[in-house]
Amino acid sequence: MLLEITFIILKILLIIFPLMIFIAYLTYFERKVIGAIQLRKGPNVVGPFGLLQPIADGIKLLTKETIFPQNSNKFIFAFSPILTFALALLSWAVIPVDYKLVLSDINVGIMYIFAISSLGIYGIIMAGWSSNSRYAFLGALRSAAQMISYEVSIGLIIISILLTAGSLNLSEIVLSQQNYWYAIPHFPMFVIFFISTLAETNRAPFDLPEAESELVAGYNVEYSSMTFGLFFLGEYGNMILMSAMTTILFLGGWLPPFDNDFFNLIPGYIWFLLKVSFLLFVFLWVRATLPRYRYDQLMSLGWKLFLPLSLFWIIITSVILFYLK
Amino acid sequence: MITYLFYFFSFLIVCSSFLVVFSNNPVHSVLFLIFTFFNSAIIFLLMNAEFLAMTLVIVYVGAIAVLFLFVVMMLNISESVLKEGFLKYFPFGLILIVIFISELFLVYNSDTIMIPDNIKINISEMTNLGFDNTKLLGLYLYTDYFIIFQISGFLLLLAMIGAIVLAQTDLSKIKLNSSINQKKIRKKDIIKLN
Repeated sequence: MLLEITFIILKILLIIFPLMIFIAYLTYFERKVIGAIQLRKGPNVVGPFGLLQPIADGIKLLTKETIFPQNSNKFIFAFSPILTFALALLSWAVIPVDYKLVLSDINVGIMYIFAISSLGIYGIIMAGWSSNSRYAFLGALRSAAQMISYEVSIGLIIISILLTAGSLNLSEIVLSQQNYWYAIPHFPMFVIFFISTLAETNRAPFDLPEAESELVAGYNVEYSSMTFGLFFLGEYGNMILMSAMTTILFLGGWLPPFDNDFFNLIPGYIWFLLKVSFLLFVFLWVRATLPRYRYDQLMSLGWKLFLPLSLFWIIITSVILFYLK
Repeated sequence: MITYLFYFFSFLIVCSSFLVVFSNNPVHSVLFLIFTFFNSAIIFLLMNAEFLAMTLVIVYVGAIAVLFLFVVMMLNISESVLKEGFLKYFPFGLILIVIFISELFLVYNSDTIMIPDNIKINISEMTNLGFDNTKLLGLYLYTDYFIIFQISGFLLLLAMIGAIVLAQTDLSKIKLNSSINQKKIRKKDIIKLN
């Protein structure tokens, strides 16, 4: 019993530590990529090629003072960044990085991820409310409305993938893509899913919750030091998670693009990492390229375009599957 | 082990549902309500009903409770107004409680309620065959309980249409930006050099 528990804790740490390093270096990667796109150098002072920059940033955040605003609700104010960060890590329990390389291979894995990511709203809305600040509250309301709207289309797209795969288990969804990745037959949904993940993680061009030109910084205006750091880490953790989810649902998870000897030499988790990194690069590319959406445009895109399209796609998918059977 | 966990989480459920009623701040009430939903999902998990647990979290915690929280935050209800109506509404609440408890007794005392006459699927046989409960639930809903399932779907549709009708206002009175019309505007239509 005790041995089992220590074994599980060890496995959890084996997931969390690489993930934390990945998150830290994602911020470095972002600054380098955006720097390259804007013809700058990006961070290059701390360590060789600026590689120690994320660590320096982390130390800076840790040593600053945590400020609690007057009249704020102290407990909820402190709890919401912790919740955001914890939820960003929690979903990794069911993500299969390679064949059988997963902490818990549960039957309803995809629903678990969907449930956990739908909880992410609470961290933001509680932060906005407890800060007792207009800007934070407006940012939180925007963010919550945006995340709910795009979650609907994400859910419907997941349903059409589930129908094709015939399983709720993430490993089985990946294994059912051995002949072709779902990005090929479901290509329109792949595009919509990616755009929805941009909105779901509050990234540019949908970063309205923290639109600095109108709302200062949105829901995290009042946060400082490590409480802000946890929001920041949570956002980047969610980016990686959403990329991993897109990889599993559409890009064949750990499977190589073609089933030949040369590609099979490379281990599955490397393929997984490559695909996730590519999607993350697109995240950053989009951020450096596109201007921010206006709020009503964002809402009409979600409800009037993505929702009907993904609903229509479910019907098409189920009809085709019914006749192929 | 499972029994102890069950008692622990049901204790949490009871405590937090009391706090939903008795906490002074309405936002805290909603947060405790969310905590209650979450713990009920864990109770489902302990009973191996993982599909129901996840649906509970997705539907209630992820969607409905967020809207509750939205409304409560926006309304800014003051505590004194909330306390005022307590005696007025208490008899009505009492009647509701009595109805609920008697319904619970009815359900627990009879085995026949809500079960169709000709059940074709044997649940224990299916679990022995290795079906997971998501598949079983689907099989049940689309065969033996098909009519009830359809009726509840129509009820939800009715609620949705009702909500749309209630929320609909006269659009001609509101100034709306249509992004299609905005895209049609060309530079030479707006900027004139004289």
